[in-house]
Amino acid sequence: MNATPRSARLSTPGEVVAILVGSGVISVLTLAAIIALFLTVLIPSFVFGGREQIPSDLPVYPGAHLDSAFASGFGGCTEVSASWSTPGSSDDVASFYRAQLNTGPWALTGTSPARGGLDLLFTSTSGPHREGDITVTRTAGGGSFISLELAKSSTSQTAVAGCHVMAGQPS
Amino acid sequence: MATLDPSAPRPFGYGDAITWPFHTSDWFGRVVLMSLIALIPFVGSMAIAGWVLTAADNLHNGAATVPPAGFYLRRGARLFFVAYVWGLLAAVLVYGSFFGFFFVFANPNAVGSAPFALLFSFGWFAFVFGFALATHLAFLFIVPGAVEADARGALRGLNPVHAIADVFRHPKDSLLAALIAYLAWIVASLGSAFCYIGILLTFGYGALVFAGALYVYERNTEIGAA
Repeated sequence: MNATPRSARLSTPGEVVAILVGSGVISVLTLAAIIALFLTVLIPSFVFGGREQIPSDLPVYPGAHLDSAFASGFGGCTEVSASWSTPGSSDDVASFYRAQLNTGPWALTGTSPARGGLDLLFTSTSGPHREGDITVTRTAGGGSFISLELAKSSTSQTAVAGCHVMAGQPS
Repeated sequence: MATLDPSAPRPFGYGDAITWPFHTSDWFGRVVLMSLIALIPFVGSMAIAGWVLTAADNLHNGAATVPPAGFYLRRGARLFFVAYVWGLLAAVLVYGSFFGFFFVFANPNAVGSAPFALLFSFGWFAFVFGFALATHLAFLFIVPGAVEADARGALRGLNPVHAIADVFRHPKDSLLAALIAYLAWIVASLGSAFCYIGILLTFGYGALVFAGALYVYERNTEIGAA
């Protein structure tokens, strides 16, 4: 092999500086790329990864801002957890959902008070079995926080065994 | 029948890589100071690479003395460069894979439910097992790779073919050197278990153990001989 003699295995000062500067710059760029990827792709994909699983026919309070959406599915059952915030009062939001979840493809199966707000249980009246729990709570600023827990069977018209919402019970 | 001469000096072997630093009277101060220097970003890594190679040079010259602590930047630059490039590639590969797994975990619909379940039952297990296997196998190539990088230079040392060929040409030495390098890595990181302050002793000592393995491997295989 064409090995450099041991006594000559010294880099020039220019090479040392070039390697140090190059490795420093590459490390900073790599770190910046990782942080950018983390902030722009990974976190949004994690926080809003379940956005597509929120039923398109589910009523959403006008002007409510989606804060998070998670979904997980197994064995034909998809569970969706989502939350919204809105400046609207909790009374208005609760009235909206009480009305909207009793029309069209949805039927209200129960309500109960929850943490200064209202817990609404609902189910679908047609199509694949879907059932959910929307909780409306008042926030410190006078607005409202809306959380959704939904389970939906995706394979047939009938409910998949065990595909239920594990939230509060109807009153 | 040949008889062994008990008075003949025993050649420096892989096992001696563990004890040789203690033959230098002020090894402790040199190790601690060098470990402190090694904490400097980039410069410290290059300096300790040069310190390791200088220690190996001393052993080649028949002097089992721990070099004084210092900035051996010119000696360590080429080894640092090769180690940095391969380390960066490995980090991108490993963290990229983790990134991909987390992305799919957060977006199960991206791959469909059946592939998702498969990915997170067997895929994750295969990934973790493969990661552990690859990191352990990598130790086989660390010492040959370091010798090749030092002997061939920064750019030609990047070519992994030479180190791979060395492992197949000298499997026994490569395995023994890998075991000593593995031990050196464990010892070097042991200090972090003592509130990280212990690393001031163990990091430099681990580097000297690695230098011993480097010397014996190079001497036995004559890879870097010039």
